[in-house]
Amino acid sequence: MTEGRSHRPTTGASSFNFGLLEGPVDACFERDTVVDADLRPMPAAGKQFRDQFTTACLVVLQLPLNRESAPNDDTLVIGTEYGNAEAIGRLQREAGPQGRLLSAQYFPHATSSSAAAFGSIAIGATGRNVTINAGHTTPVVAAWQAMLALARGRSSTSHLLVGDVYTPEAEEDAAARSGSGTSTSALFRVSLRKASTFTAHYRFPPAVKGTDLFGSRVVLPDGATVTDDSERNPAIGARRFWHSVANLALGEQSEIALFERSGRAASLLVTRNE
Amino acid sequence: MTERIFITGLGAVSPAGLGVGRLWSDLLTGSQRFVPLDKLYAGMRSGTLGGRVPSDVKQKVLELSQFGTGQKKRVASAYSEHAALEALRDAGIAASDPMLDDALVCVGSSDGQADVVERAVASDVQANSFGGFSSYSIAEDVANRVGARGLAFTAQSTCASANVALSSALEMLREGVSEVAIVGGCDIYSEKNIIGFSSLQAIGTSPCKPFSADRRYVTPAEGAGFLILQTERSLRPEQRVYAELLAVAVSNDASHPTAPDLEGVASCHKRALIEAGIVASDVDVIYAHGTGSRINDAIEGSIFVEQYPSASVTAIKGTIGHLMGAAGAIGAIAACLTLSEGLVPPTVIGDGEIDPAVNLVRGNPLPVPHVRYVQNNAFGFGGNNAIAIFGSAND
Repeated sequence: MTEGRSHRPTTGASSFNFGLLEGPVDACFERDTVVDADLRPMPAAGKQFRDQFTTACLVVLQLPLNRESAPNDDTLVIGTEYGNAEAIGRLQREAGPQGRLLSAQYFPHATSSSAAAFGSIAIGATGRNVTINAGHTTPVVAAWQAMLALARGRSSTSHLLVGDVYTPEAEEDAAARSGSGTSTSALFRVSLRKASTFTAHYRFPPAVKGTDLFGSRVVLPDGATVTDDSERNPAIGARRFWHSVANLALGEQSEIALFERSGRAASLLVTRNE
Repeated sequence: MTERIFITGLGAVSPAGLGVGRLWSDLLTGSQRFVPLDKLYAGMRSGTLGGRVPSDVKQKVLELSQFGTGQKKRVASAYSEHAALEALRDAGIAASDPMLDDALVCVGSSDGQADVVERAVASDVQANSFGGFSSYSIAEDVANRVGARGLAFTAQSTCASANVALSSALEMLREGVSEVAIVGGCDIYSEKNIIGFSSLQAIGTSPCKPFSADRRYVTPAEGAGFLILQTERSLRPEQRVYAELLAVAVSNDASHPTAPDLEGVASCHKRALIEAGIVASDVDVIYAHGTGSRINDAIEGSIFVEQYPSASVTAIKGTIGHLMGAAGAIGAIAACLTLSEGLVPPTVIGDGEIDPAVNLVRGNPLPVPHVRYVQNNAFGFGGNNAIAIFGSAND
């Protein structure tokens, strides 16, 4: 088997080989506030302008990886539905009352990809930097992007971050799109490397109207299936999946399938080869 | 052998009006349509210029869209749908075409559903009263409108977003995820963005003058641009092919949250050439990112002077403004038209001094009848770099 090389299967499917360098590493939350008290000092510059999402991303990137920020060719892919919505809303709210005193430091923290930008700066990652939103299928689509960078030889390491921190507006929006359920703030990182330890098989089948399927389904190596059609944050199911991948024995498999209300779906089956 | 990917359809909504024809006409004639923007807060300079989609055009697009009125009003979705439908018509792909069964939709956007977010924040009313603000809804709305049943997602990398979307779609087609991709960029007028650029004193009362020695400001604009990408094997004999998409390199400076970094930008140029399998001297035309800011044009221009001395450079933001996350899509459309029409639009800066001394196209459009390779640059805050290289469809 060739390291990191994909082959061209039928339309709607794709495969990559990869290794797991580290993770999953979870951000710890108390309600919707990330807990970073035990972690190494966060970058102080601009801290008052940073929102909870960027903070969570920096937390999972910096520890336990604990790497220096010397430039490297790493890729950083963030999969998120609402990302930096907190900082974006704050900039708009602050402009009126602050007027001419509005700090220029709000803006860099208030773009839809601010977390990815500050994440790349924090770890010196000069490879691909992409923030992906594919609704509930985001964790699988983002993983595809992270593995592609390895397969194409663009990076030796890909960091995949998936999750959301829910502002009140984001929670309302998620509820309107996905129906009844819960929105749990959660974010995790897995760092992937070029290797043939695992094979990932992706499937992106054509959307099927009227299925009304929603949520995640994780099939664990022992065949047990965990379904969740009430959690709106797909990172919860994806985190369960990646924890099972990290513990796969030779020949074992784990699979995640994610379903959007629109009928779109995406799945990822990982097999341990070595 | 790597799957070859071709562009077969183009669509646009821009300050030039509805459609690619109007956009191309404005670019060739250097017709600026900048207008003074409303003053949004006390710190914003009166008379700050921007490029707006004309109000009658906006109204028409909204009337044609299911997301154009009432509580479900989503301007980004309406612009994107319109541009995507034009691109599909241009490609000769009808709404019920089986080609759309697995068609991918990928949209690059920096500010997503900005108007929905702003209404929710400003009025302190629940966001779902206004329709969803997740940026995913732009891609999903386009997919549902055109009948594309494949994967749909939004890529967000500030002003490099559309080129990142092109990169993602290119790779997915090459990997066999789909045979057809509806790819574009969209950013609408965003109050948050205008406030942000104003706080940085990056926008102002004089228009964008890329690579001019007296350049000062970026001129923000809005709109959407879409392209239809197809694998070679999915092409039909009757389809017109504008260009081949050879490569899109994506990288990050990992250096500064707002200022570009020479080494990082130069590195992205090298990656793009390597991935396209050509050298700098092969590039005939460059659509520069060319924002008109001092630092961007200085860095980008120095690379052109050193590495691409023979390439003709143009910076269309001087005409159409900076469409933010959609800028790369507008540049990509223009690059395809340069390859198919053999013309390079001029940079609208008058006859003054150029700095740095790039080989800038000014005055009349430049005929390039034998053009083979066109490069399209898009960079953004956060050190985002994305460079696309297109080849002639005749090669």
